[in-house]
Amino acid sequence: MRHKISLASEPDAIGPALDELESCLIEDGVSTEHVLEVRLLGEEAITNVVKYAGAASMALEVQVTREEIVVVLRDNGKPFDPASTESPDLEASLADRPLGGLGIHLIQSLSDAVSYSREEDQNVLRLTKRR
Amino acid sequence: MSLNIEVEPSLPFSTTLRLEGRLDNDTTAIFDEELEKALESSVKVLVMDLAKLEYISSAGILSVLKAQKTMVGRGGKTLFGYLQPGVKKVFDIVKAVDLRSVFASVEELDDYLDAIQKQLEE
Repeated sequence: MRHKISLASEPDAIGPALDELESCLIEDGVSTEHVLEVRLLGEEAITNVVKYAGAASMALEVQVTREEIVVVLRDNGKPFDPASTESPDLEASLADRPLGGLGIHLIQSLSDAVSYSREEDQNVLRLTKRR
Repeated sequence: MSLNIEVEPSLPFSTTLRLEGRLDNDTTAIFDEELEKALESSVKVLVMDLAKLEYISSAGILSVLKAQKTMVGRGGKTLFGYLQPGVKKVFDIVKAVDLRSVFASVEELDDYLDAIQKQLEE
């Protein structure tokens, strides 16, 4: 099944969009474990756009097949490629470790595939999770 | 999605925060408020009972890390009860906690705290 979820690029829109994403996944019979992991991928990706991209519009699409769940997030903000961003230093001691960059690291670690493209004036982030 | 937090000053040297629900972009502010209040006292042990926490995102992890930094800064420690598998997976990915501070069950953690209490009383 393919679902389209519209959302504004503002903090208050994140929760309702994620709730809708979760409902779509449950409706399509996705396991609770994968529902929560895909919600997490969505939260990290959307939050990143809302906080840093300066986008005027964004759109979320999710496609569920027997083999995988694919989330596609489009926004017209500043170009940013989460797929090639370096992970933060997680080995540093608690006192020294940087606190930023965890969301991108979660996206890279929890997704089975992350791809990014810039299409005209849009960032297109495609996250794939195998079922 | 909601988050319920119970704060329990269980022992003179420790405070327990018991979380139920989801710690995400929408609920982290509530958690931060409770953490700030809990850390106002001079407790040496902060216990996070996350047995009923079903979801955590980077927003919540950031708060957990900040709390641990505060406790380390005052020469104290942060301990965790049982973690649900999904939460543990996220913690492991970002190396959010020292594995030695995570107990297999809340009961095991309580026993450990009781032992510390007895040592202090002796």
